[in-house]
Amino acid sequence: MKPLWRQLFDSVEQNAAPLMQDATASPAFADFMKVAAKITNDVNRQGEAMTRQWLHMWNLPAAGDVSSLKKKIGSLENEVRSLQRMVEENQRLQRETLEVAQAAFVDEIDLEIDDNDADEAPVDLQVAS
Amino acid sequence: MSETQTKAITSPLTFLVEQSTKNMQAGWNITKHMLGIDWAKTSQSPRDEVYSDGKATLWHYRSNQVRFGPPVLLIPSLVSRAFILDLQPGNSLVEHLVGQGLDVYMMDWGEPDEADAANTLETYTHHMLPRAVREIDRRHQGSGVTLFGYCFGGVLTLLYAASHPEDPVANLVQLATPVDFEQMPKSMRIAGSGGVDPDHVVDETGNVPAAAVRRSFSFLTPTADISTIADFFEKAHDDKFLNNYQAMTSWTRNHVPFPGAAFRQTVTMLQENNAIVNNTLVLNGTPVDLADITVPFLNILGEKDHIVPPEGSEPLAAMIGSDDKTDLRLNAGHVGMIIGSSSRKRHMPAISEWIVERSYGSGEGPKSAAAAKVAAKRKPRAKKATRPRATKTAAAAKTGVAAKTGVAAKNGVAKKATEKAVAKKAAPGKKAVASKKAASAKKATASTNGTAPANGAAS
Repeated sequence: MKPLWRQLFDSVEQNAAPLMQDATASPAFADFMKVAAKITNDVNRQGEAMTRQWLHMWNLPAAGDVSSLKKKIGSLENEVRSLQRMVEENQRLQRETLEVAQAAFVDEIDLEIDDNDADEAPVDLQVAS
Repeated sequence: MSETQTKAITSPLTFLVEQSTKNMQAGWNITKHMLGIDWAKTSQSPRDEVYSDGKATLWHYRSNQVRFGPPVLLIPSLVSRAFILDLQPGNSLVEHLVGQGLDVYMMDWGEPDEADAANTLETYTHHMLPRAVREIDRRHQGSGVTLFGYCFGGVLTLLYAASHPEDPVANLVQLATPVDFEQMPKSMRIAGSGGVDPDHVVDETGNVPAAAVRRSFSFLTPTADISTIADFFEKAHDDKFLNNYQAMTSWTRNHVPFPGAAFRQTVTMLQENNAIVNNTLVLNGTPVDLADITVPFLNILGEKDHIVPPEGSEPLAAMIGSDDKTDLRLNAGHVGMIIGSSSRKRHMPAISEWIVERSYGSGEGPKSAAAAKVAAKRKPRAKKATRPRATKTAAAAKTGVAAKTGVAAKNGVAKKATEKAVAKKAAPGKKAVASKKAASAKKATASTNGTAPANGAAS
């Protein structure tokens, strides 16, 4: 049997949960989130601009500078990765094409073997110079 | 004293002692939990790294009981930790599949940062997944791969499989895959469609922060977090409960950032345009049609899934071009399909049974048509390999070089290999041996060391 505090909690939760779920799924909540996201974004941006100005006055790097650097490094890392993928893809394609060509090469040999077999040609490994 | 009298005195005492012990145990467990001592370990199945690609890592799970092929590649979601598929011993999809004799791989996407902000859906569907599938296929001598996508990982596998029909995918398993985004919960669709501007969700790293991802899930069941805490205090004395609680919360409260570019694409293409259902998918500038997926297909839906409701993934089967497609409806939630006692007893066996039925045993031929197709495609020269080597060797030497070179030239490649053979063969007084193995670039040799025996010396 559940303790009394849990029974009380469950009864409140059971009543509150559907209401809260409906609230978070409502258009009003979506509007609220839209406004909240915009305000948060603007406040963060303005706050960052102010602190950057102040820190730059003292010749110190701000969070925005670090973030900008990290973005540039990230972008470079991403570019290197893309190039690496391109190289690998090219190597793979070359390998596959080579395999196909070599398979065709052996096919051709096999065809000629069949011709030779039909003629009952003697086996001769000596290559004419 | 009578027995009834004894009971009347001792039972309150016993009750008091039991309660005290329970409370002491709970207090100790809560202290340990707060301090992070003996925290439940996750992802314990033994595994080896195959390779890593940026933040992503391909893992191979060790097993000495592999009985079936093709291997299974698990693709978790982009926004949650991959270890949900291998939560704990006795509560792990990976462990179950390995136990059924399957060879299991998993792609762990890792934790994106600034370097991954530009990752689009194509980064996953046209680069990372093809590489993983081809690598596994290569490691298993062209056996093909059973792809198993979970949640958003399922979306990625779908898009990949549809846009790469030539790739060696033998079977496709989709678990809780959202395809009809109009059927997804409204609180999950706050971004886009005139709602929150996606640019306002993305942080300074260029990604959607993990906290925002977590918040979007918590809006679905706003009281769930408080209920979980109540559960914790009620059952903290129970070591087993605490272990499960820690393992689960370390997953549910520990999301990963969503790469910004992929997020914008998801909002615009998949959510606003509902592109999968409307068949207007475009990846890398090319239209993608799910009807191009023709491999055996399993769509697993959770009747109680509140994140991806069954209506959200129901249309999938009708859109796939496979002849062999199955809808498996489980009486479980999003995570309950792969975690928990019901999953162990019913859900996971049903899933692995489907996979095994479409696999082939070691030493057998592929059972399914698709697996056979993959095997046939990957081993096109199996029949010719049975030809007697001596004949080939002799004839290869006899037929001369011009024809061979001609074939190679016709194909426009393999010039180096053939030129090498030409040079060696043209050398006066030398004898050449061409063998089947000469077809392989590395093994292509022309023996120049004396007279080759008539029965073929090439190995």
